[in-house]
Amino acid sequence: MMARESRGSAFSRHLRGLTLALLLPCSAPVMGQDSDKLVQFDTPDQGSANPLGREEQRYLAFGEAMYDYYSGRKFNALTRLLVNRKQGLFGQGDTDYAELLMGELYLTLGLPGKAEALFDKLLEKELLRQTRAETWFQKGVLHYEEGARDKAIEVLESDNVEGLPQQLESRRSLMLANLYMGRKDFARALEYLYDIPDDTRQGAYANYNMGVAMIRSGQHSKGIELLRTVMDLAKGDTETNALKDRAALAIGLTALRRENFATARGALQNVRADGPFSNEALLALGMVNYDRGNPKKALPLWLELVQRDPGHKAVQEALMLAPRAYEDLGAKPQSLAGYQHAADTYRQELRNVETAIRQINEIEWLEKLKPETPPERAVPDPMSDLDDYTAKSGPQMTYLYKLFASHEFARMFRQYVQLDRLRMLLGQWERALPAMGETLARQKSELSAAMDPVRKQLVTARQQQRKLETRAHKLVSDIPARPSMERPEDVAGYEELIMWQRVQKLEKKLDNASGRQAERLRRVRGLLLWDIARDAEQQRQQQQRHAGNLVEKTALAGVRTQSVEQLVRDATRRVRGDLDESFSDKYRRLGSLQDEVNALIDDVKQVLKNDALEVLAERRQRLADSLGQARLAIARVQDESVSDDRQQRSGETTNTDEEAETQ
Amino acid sequence: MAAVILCLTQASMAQDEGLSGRIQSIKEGVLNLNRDLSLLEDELMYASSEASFYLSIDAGSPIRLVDINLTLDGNHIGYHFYSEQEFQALSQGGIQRLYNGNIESGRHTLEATITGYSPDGKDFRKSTQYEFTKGPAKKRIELRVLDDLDGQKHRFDFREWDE
Repeated sequence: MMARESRGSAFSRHLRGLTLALLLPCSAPVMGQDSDKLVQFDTPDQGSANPLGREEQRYLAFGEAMYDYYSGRKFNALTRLLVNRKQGLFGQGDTDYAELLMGELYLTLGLPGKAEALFDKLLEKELLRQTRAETWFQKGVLHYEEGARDKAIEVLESDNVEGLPQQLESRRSLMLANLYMGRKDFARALEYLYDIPDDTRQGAYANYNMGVAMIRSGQHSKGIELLRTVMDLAKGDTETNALKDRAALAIGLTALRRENFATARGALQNVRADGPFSNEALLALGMVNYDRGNPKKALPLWLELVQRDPGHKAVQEALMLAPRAYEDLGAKPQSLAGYQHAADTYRQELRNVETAIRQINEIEWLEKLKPETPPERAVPDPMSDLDDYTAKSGPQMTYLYKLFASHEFARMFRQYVQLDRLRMLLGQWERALPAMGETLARQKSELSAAMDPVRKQLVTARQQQRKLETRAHKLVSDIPARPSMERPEDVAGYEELIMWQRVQKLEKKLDNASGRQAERLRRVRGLLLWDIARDAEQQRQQQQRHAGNLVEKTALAGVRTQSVEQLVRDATRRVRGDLDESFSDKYRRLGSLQDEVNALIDDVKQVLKNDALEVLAERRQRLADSLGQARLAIARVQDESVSDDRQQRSGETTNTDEEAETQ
Repeated sequence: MAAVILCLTQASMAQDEGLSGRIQSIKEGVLNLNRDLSLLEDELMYASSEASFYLSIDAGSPIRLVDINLTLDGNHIGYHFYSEQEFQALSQGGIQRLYNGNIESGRHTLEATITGYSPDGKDFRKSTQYEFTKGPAKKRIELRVLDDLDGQKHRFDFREWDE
């Protein structure tokens, strides 16, 4: 009986002691259910962790790079891939596609040498058919962008690029069409052009370029036919509509040059009045009427045009054409006023060009061309696409459209913006590095102070945890699988246990009693045993469950102890590590790169400035020529007026003499 | 005269080549420094207590995610609203790191609430929970939104790794 008692009480104490001991370190908050959930999807999953192998590491790392790449954060994507490579994730296993992506990103950033080295290395390997085709395709793109036309054609037409996905296939056709256009081999260019759907933007641009190229080489009707496919496209976004206008204008000007006035007129009427090419269209429409010998119909168009922005080339041309039409109609005073207005306007524009030249020299005009940075992003991705230049203000902007349209300026301006963003990125690191250095210093001092006490506590905690774990396991093994009424206290519930202990005490007390009291006690005992036996199965299951939980909790305490041990090892490495040296190295590299980037940006700005000044000088010369023409025209009209007056006057004198003679 | 022009052109091309070479060299320098600083930052900020939670969806999935809200043990740890481009990035195989930080060891409950549009255009809001134990290793958990083609629905699935 005593043995049974001590075993039973030890069991209960054990259980309670363990529960209390484990509740303290493992009091993780219990999640409540959100009341506003529309659907609670699945029951909570309980996972088990697998070790993160190389393949899984690559899967996550490459997936992140892809996410950045497709989200337009290409510089981030490239940095991630470089980090992955430095961590040894490349080179083994299935990493070909990641390396291909890296090469493509190098190419986008303007590092063709690095890209080509990667592609060549990839092509030495056994690759999947599509990866091989895409790698060759990227090599073709590389040659295309470097202007190596023959090499690009050779690669892009070879069997190596067979098996490209549809999207790249269209790009391949477009590049080949452009390459053959450059060779003036329009028949071949057309073959590739047919592969690009007309209703895509790529197709529309290809048709436009092809049409213009054919007209320039004398194949007018075929060129116009292609331009018509663009002009007749359905209305779309701003870019599509502008391209439609441009195609209509090109048809109109071509027809005008060939004196096909009806075609010219029909095409020019398709140019939108509020579009970016309406000035050119008005000028050309006026020319159609004028060349047909109808200056009266040309005049209103040019008069409308001269009221527009005088910085525009078409407006400046119209300033001389409108008075010319008046002149042809015999309206000399209006003509003279028109030429005088033209001269005044040219003079004013010359002053504006001079101001623009001064401003280009003095003001950060390139700043105004840069795309605006969204407020939420401190540093825009250096490799993100550039929109059209947005001229916010300044007289120089009006005169630089020719410059903005040039491919060379676009290329150099892109370099400028990329370098400027890289400078911002370096600036961001410059601000972050001191904070990182401070963090390291604070971590070191705090960790140094905390390490010894933590190590001691950890030894104690580890010992306690092991003891508790052993006890928990023992407890589980000590609980018999099936309940037995040989020891009712082992299967009694809490209240039943108290009752059972009271009954036992009373039994001892009334050991010698007899009669009614003993009989009553015997009945109570019997009833209590009945109750205990009834709930015994359920009680045993609950005990097994609790004991199992205790094993789990002691194991969890073990995991937490291991975590702290790992953190101590991390901290030891941190305190003794060479991060300080690494910081110094980064500071040095950062400083030197900042100096180099600043110097380079200044050089690039100088190149862009020289280009801009060249354009402005050309505009100044043209305006000066126009001013000279206007002055000559004024003198001519005035001379003609004077001689007309004289003729009129001499005519009047002759008439008077004749009249006098008659009288 | 032609010789002078040729000389000038060649000089200009050489200058441009020089500038291009410098630009390339500096870009490479910045790229490498950025890589090394990212690694340094990672080393400094995240020790073995690091945990990262990722999101991926089935490639070409017909659903459209609008946003995701993430809580850890009831505390808000992240929210992301998806632009069209970002959603496309996910559906083309991209994996988004939703959270990266240091967490305590022990049991944790991660809850993700996603709103979006189902293939039939109806909007939905769904939540899922995941319980895990953070031990001495770095923790990586991926939440995958998978298409369930039979039921024309989608389901959540978690994968967990210790590094």
